[in-house]
Amino acid sequence: MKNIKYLLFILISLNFMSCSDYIDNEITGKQNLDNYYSNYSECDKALIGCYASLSPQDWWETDFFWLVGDVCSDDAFKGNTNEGDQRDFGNLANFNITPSNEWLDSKWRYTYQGIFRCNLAITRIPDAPISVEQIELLVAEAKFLRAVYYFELVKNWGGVPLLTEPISVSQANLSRSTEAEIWIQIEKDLTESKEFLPLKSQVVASNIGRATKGAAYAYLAKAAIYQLKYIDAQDWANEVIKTNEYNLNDDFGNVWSVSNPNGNGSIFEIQNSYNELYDSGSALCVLSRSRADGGWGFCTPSSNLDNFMGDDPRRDYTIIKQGDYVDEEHPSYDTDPTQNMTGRINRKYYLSMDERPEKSEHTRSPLNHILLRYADLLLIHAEAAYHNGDESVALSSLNKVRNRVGLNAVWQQANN
Amino acid sequence: MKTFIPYILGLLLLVASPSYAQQKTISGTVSADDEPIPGVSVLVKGTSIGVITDFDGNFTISAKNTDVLLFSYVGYITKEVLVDNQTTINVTLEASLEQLDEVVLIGYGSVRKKDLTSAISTVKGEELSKRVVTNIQDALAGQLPGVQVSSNGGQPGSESTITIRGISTLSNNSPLYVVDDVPLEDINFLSPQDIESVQVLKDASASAIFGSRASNGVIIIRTKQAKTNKVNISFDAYGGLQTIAKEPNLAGATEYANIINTARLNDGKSIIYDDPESFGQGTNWWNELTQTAPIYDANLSVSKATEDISISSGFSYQSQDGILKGSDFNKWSVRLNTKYNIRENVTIGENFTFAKSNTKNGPNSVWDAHRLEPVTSPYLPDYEQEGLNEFSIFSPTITDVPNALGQLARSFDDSMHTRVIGNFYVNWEIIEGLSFKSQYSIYSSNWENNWFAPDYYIEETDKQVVNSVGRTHNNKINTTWNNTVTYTKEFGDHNLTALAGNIIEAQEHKTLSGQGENTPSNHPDLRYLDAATEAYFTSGNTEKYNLISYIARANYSFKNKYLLTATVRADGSSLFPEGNKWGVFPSVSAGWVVSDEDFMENVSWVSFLKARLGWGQIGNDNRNSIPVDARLTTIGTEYYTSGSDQNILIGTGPDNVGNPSIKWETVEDLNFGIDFALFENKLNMNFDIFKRTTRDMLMAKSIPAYLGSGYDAQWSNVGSFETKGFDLGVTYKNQFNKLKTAFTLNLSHYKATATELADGEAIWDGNHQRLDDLGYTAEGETPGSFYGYVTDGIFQNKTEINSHSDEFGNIIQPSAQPGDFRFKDLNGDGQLTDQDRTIIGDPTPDLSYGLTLKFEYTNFDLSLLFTGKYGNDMLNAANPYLMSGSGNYNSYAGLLDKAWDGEGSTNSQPRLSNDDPNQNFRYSDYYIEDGSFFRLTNLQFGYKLSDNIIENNGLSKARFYISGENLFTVTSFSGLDPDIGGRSTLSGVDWGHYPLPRIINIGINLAF
Repeated sequence: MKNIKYLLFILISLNFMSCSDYIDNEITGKQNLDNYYSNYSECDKALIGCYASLSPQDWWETDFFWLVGDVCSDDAFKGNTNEGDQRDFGNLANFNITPSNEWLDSKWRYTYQGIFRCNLAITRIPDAPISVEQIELLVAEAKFLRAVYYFELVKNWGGVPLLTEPISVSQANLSRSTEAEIWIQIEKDLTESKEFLPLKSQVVASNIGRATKGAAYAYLAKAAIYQLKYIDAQDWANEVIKTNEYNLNDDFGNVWSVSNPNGNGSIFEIQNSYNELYDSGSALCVLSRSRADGGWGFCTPSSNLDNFMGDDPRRDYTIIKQGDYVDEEHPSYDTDPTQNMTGRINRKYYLSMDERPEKSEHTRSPLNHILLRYADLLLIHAEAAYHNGDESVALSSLNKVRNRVGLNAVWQQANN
Repeated sequence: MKTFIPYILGLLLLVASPSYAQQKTISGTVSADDEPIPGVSVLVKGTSIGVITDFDGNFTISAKNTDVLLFSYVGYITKEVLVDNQTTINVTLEASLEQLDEVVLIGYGSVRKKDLTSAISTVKGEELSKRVVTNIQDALAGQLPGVQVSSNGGQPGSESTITIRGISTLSNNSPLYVVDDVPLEDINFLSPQDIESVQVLKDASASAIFGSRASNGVIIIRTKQAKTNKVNISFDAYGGLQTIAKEPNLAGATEYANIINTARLNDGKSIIYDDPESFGQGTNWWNELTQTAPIYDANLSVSKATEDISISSGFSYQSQDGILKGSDFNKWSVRLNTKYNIRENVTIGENFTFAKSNTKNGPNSVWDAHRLEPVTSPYLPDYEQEGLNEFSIFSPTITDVPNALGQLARSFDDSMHTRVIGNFYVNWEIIEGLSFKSQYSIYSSNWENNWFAPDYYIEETDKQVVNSVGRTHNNKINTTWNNTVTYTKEFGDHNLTALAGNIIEAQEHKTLSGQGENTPSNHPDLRYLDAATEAYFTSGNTEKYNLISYIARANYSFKNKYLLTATVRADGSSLFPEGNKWGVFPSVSAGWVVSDEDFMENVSWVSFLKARLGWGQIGNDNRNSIPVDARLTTIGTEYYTSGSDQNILIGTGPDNVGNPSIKWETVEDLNFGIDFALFENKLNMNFDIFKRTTRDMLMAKSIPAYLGSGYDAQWSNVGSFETKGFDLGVTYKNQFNKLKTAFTLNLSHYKATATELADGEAIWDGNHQRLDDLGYTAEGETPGSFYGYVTDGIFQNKTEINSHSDEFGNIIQPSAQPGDFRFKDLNGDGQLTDQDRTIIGDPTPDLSYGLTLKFEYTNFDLSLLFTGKYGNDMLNAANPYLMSGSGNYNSYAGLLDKAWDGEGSTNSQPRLSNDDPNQNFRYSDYYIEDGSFFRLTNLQFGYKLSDNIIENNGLSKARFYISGENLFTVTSFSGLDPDIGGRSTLSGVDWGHYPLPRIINIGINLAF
């Protein structure tokens, strides 16, 4: 009996001595931000995360927004005739733009997600225990990407909140900076990053598609010309031409082919691939294909564009009209005219049957999305040179582009 | 002479008594309901001589012939018997209508109902076992004031949601369940027959002792313990059929075709169906997908108690098929409770239950059955089925709703849930009045789910190219160790009970799931991960949660009239960061038994009157709503591509927004109550009025998007909430000759307001494909309100459209046509924009009630349970499809006639149109309906065989009954079932709710 009593006394007293680290639990199954960036692999993965914001997992995150520029111009219409289907997209096309538009919301959020990740990388990687060269390259890539993201924001919204380092929720009371301030930051990031980025030909095979020096110069040229700074634009564009890294050797019809990723004329493109488990691809193929061909029929080229292109050799690679021959399985294409506002489909995102992924096609199409290509840069060069009074230089670049598809050169006016 | 004899006898007695005033020995047995009762107090009236009946109900006492013996026992009417010349007195006690001596469990202890100072409602287990239900929560519906049970659908194996006194927070509102002193979140291993009583602690002064898990109230359940020394065997069983209580009234194929044609003509397009009449009725999808289904249940329990040991055991089995094809459920459980007095002051005991349930999770086809077009037959014609696999033989559908029969055929999803719940305790009475109890309990749950998705092709938008298979195993082990010391002392008029203790809880949740794709065929033998050949994916983690608590409580009463209770609890939770881990939660309550006062002595019609006031504060760590990692920013996986080979790259990115200062949510409430019993306890009433405030409410606070977290929000303590209301319980019992009656009415009313929300921003919930978000929770308003446009009749002609303008002549709805809805321009700006929306409905009922009527006449008994709600608004989420005639979906029957088709035809249903340029079918008050309902939830009519018949067969009780569940419902709601719950930010919406079946069954109760 006494033994039982003592046992019970011990039980009672043991109890009241419970340790307080009993209620200290670690988080399982995930790393956390506080102790991240502790080796090269983590830093590189963080960079890949920065790239991933260019093409987030799901189609509505930013894939859809790439079509906005076209539908807001007279090059294309919203696409399918069902008004209630993606009503907000139709609203953008009609310039009925309200703050509650879901496409603006998604684009804003996911572009800033990219900026946040870049800010984290730029702030934290320099403290990581890795070599100076590795730090310089990773930070340069992050700065390049940050510039690309701010470019997207300033293009669409003008002045926006400017963050160059990650801030906490309690510090979040920023207001919009001016458009000029954003451009300055973009140019600063691109200028700093180009010092450490490799040339396209220097990139190891497994890294092809990541940021390059040529891409930094090209974006500087594009940024300059958006700001109508023609002298800078011509200079930066010239830097790209001088690198000899890019050419127009690819056939026009092959430029957007899924089997020609990072081709001869590609300066910077969003990389996509098909994977059975992960949504690492693009949704643009399904978004823009005909509703009679398993697509959703958005961003359909207009008759304006069609008529403008007329018999330009590039027309057939840009627009598919009802009844056109596209490939063996589609000798007479059905653009589903009853549900298609213009009766036409964008050819540049079209994949043939065997190129389409087997499973979950709509978020996994392997077609890369070109953001900047050499022909575009040559035209920037030409435009800038023209405004700088350098007409012959301008025509020289313009004619390179025309020449590629066999169009006649344009001569100087003085010679006509 | 005759008159002399009694006189002489009396004289003799008078003379005889003093000198022959012999003490003699009286013995006998005290019983009630044919069961001997131990512990009955036998007193010689007017003296202090008394004994207690032994375990067999026997007593022996010394008394004189003139003495009167008083027999009294808790719950029974005290009986007086004159000794006279008897030496053996057998007494039968009758149950007392007075409930006040009943013992109520209050958490780590118990008090008499009379001494309660908090708001607690109770219901006996036998009321619950009348219900034909497969989950315990449903059995509680309508039984307790202040307790609302909302169904999550009639799917076999589904569990209902309980809220106590409405909602108190935006996250999880489930109460804490305590079964035999073990805190649990899941009580579905219990059968109603296992339960002896259920107590609900409604206010903070009662539930504070349970600390951080009790902010939404506590439901205490006691399972049956063995009582008597006879071996008690009982067997209960029932079997019945479930049918559809209400069928949807959908258009047939002809009407459907006419509706589609009319809509197209109204849009200026050509018709699609040339000959609507030729279709006839078409396919009745509802009939194809539903069936009459059986339900049955059997229970066996055996118990025996002796002085030293008592054992109570039980076995039960239940099985239910679904009224929607493809789903079913069965469960069996075994229970063993024992108690052993190893010494006169030490008791040990254990309660153990093992339960296993199997659920076949079929698709919920309700919504699809409503929307599918009747012109399509379910199967392809025979000649087209040639060569197709068994899952591809279904017809493609015109709409985006997949073929529901195809979906049913492809449904392979089974779950198995095994639970072991046990507790072991030691109770040691150290010295008189001081006792120590230590209890260790385990809840172990193993949940396994297997699923298989076959490959098939019906059409481009309804196909699966490769099959896939998966399995999930989740284990939970929750352990609780509580130690309490209780001290009771009576000194004079003062009575004190003090309690102190500590509780250690640990929870470990292990998850594991795997899936793969492309097994060689759809054959049942190959539906396992081993047969998959590609796309393997697994995930798994272990999550832990720990809690340490210290509790203290004092119950003090003076003259049993003035009562005071105070409790305090300190909880330390592993969810919060350093510095915020601990919270202290006090409460105090007082009671005054007014009826015991001298001034109440002459008020004979009041048998009991007590007033109570209580205040308390409870913490809530929202352990089931917020993620374990809410305090940190964690890293998730991202994907990109690079390289000439375009290989996938694995990257990382922040996964959430951590909050390093996250802390406890605090719920504070004030409760005032009155209990009274009138007319000799025939009428009993409990009335409570309360106000509950939640502060530092944990909410997912949306943060500026430029911080770069996508749509992730941060869990912060930024909100507050207020709920006010009352609950009322009335019981009336009486007996008129042989007819016994008992009526109980429960009424509750509450109103909740979200008084403060993060940044004052409203929260939206419930995204509907056609209406956007349905539930609106805004600062200062009721959470989950309906928010939309306000209709104002139909434009009958062009003039009306033009005159719907502002003062400057701007036409508010320029794209409208005659037959379209007129919407109010609420902000008067001459345009119809999303600023012209307002709160158009409130899903909270003004009153929820339950009414029980019981009648007993000789061997017959009849009981009825009515439940209902009054004043709540509801939204039938199928209406945007079924009342618009657009998009090729089916419609409700009669839409063709109801729709506007010319001036003056109707002012409430717009013209049929596919394009709908006026957006007639946007989210407006057109969809808000009155969800009030009155339902006969249960009716049971039974017949008990008389004692003389059954005793010959060794039975002590034999009863046969017929009963019905959900027999009729009076409501004007257009959906199939108005009893729909939801969550704090979205409720009262019928998203194709699986309706509750109507059940008719017969059963027997036997006892040996």
